[in-house]
Amino acid sequence: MSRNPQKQPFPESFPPLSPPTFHILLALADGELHGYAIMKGVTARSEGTVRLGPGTLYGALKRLLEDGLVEEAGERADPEQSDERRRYYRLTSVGRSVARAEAERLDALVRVARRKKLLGVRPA
Amino acid sequence: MNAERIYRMLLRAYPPAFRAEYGREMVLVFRDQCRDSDVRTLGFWMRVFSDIVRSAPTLRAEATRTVEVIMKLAAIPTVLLAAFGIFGAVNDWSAASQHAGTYVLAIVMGVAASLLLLGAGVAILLQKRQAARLTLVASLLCFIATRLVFPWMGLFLQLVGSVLPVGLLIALYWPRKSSTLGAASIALVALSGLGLAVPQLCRAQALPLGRWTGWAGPMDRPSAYPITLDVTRASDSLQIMLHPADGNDYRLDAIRLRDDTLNFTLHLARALPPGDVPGGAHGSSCTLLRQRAGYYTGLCTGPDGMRSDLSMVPPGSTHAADTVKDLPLTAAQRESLVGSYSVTLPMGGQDVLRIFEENGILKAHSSHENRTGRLLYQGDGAFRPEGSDFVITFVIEAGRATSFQGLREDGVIKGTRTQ
Repeated sequence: MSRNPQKQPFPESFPPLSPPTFHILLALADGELHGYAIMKGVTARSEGTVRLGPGTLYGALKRLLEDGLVEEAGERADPEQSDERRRYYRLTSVGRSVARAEAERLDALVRVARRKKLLGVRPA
Repeated sequence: MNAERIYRMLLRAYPPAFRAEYGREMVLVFRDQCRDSDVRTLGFWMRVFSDIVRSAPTLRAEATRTVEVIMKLAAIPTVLLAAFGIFGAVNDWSAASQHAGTYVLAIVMGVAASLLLLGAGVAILLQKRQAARLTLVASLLCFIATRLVFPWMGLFLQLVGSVLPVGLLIALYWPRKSSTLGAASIALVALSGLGLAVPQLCRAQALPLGRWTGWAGPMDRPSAYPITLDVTRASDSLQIMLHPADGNDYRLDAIRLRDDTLNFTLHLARALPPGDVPGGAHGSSCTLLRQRAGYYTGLCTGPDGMRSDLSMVPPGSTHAADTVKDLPLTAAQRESLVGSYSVTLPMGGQDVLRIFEENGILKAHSSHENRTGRLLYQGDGAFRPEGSDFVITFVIEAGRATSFQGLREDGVIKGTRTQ
């Protein structure tokens, strides 16, 4: 549940997102994750080019929670990590729309870059 | 000390509320990082520090929300200052001896400006930003109008009336995200206000506090009535009491000091019995001009049209007032001064001053200026050469003047008896 219910954000008003924020939303697009799982997902997806520290991660999560893009999904232990209970996060419907809007924005930019031969033409 | 303990200490860089909410989760993540990385490498700790340095200041800035905090802090004194302004206006009204048209207008507009400022403070506290903006603009306009019709307004009120609304307006119009810039702009406005106030402060210092001396008397006659004045400052206004020799003290009301002109009215300090008609200088309006030497001299006009000279000499001044005394001297006093004096002039020049008596009048001849004139006795061994604007003070030893000293516009003159 959003911590700031009085806010009713419009998805198109959020982009452009900062790279850490977009990476977090992308990580959560797969389902509920706890903080360290998000970090590992971001590192893996960016092939190590984006590394989120705990401060950057939870600072971004705090803002995403306040903006209603992410919500908490309870606490439970992760059997793969340890038996300590961890807080899980998931995308809200607004968060998913925002991630989609950002992805479309980036996709449009990439298409422009391809037209301008800045990127190689994708093989058919 | 293990890595996790170090990290817990580093977490203090984050705002307390953020730490309370996410501190435990961050430690868990850090523990996971430690398990999956080599904590003994420099690279690991570089990444840890880099993360803290990049994220903690931003989170602290967000937690503080500088402008909002300043606005709330400013709103409370705004309300208090506005209430003080209203109280001051009412107090001033009741204390004033006369209520001229412009004065009434100034008081009414001043109260209106204070009421609007009060409303703005309340609106800020209630987070009604638009209402606060409108009342601040109205208060500022009202204050400017008040200042125009009441130019001798106290410095403190000027600062409150102008700088406070402008600063608050800037803060209210500034976008939320530029909180640091908003705070900086408020500081800039405050500093500008202070900069504007400095010349006024300097001018206020042109009327030194303390015991003043002076002379008063009917116009066109040598003033023979010495007076003293006590100049004090209460809150942001001057208070001056005039003490004539006859003991009937006067209070200076409606004091206005603008540039080099000092205006005031005189009122008897003591309460008169019912039915008693005040006489003397009661009710006189005075206008004095500041002279280059620092003293004030001018005229007082009574309710009956009678005009009097008045001079006020600030404490520590060695200059004579414009009104010259000519006190009588005994033959022995005149005799003690007669002789020749070698004089050192301010620029290092030399002169010979010959003091002599002619028909019972003490005179001095300057060989340097080849001029002869009377020496007018001012009391306490001080003489004023006729036609000059300075006094010389003699040192008397064993009934005979041995030397003198004086302060002219261009410096000190010293004389030593040679004959």
